[in-house]
Amino acid sequence: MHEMPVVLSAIEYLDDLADKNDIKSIKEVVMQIGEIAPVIPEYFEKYWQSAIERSKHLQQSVLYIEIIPGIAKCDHCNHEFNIETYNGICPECHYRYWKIISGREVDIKEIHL
Amino acid sequence: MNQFKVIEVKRSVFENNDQDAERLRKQLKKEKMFLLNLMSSPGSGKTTTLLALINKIKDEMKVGIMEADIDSAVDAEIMANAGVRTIQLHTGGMCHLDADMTRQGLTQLETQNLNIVVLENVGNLVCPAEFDTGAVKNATILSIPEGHDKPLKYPLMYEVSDLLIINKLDVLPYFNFDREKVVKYARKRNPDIDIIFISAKTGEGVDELADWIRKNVSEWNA
Repeated sequence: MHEMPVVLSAIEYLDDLADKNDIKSIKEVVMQIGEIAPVIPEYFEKYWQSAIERSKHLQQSVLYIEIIPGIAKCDHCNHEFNIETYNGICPECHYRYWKIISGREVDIKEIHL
Repeated sequence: MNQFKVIEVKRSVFENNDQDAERLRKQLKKEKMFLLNLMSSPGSGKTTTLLALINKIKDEMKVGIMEADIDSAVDAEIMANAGVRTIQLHTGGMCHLDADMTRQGLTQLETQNLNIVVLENVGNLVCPAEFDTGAVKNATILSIPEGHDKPLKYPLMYEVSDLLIINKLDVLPYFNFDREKVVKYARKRNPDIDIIFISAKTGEGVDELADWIRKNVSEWNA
């Protein structure tokens, strides 16, 4: 749902980074989007393609998205498991309460020049 | 993927807003201004609760309100009619507020003589929780008819809140709402969350809410 402002914010940041470091053009951008992040990769990609047309240094860039698994740590037995795969129920002890330890991120991982 | 020169960035796209929020909080600390971000789903009773609260504290503190809605000035009019300094923010379709919008709102509100500002966020249990508004504390209202399972279904909202207000105690007899369960579920998400039961309509529990505000404002200004 928040893909548009998030895309624009990422592009603004990278254009600024390129300006500050004398980079003419960014060839590839690698994003990391968590399985349970508030951003849907498919929509991020769609908006990205439109938004880079107006960017300074990203017009020819190719976008790659790495999906980071949504991993929970069981509050009861400390077992770590994929939330989506196991529907939020610990496969070891069947407890239903846990802490999320990865999968919420929406990060710019790296750029390739 | 062709390998060109690789530059590691490792930066969250939310970092800009996080930084804006920290900057705003520092400014609020300097100005001894307490900003409360009040969230909930539509119809939980944010506006009614605020009116009841303001009635209790209006002789001790000057209160300002920022109303945020997609459209209309319904809430701002209610506040203005009650004699409270208020502005209405229209989010332009956006489902939440961020730190920059909050800052703009504060400027518009003219906060010089105010002790406390409450941001009545957009009615929504999902998006507002994801964006730090720069507030000193977050509060969320859950009303009895909504059910005691909401902390399980909308974990982030309860994780980011310092205070959970359970409203509409007056209709408890008509719903299968388990008071112990809601406390248990909320504390699972956030062991440190304060929980206050109220009826904004009858006034039950509002004294306790006012005390929570007094305590937190005083700690902020210390």
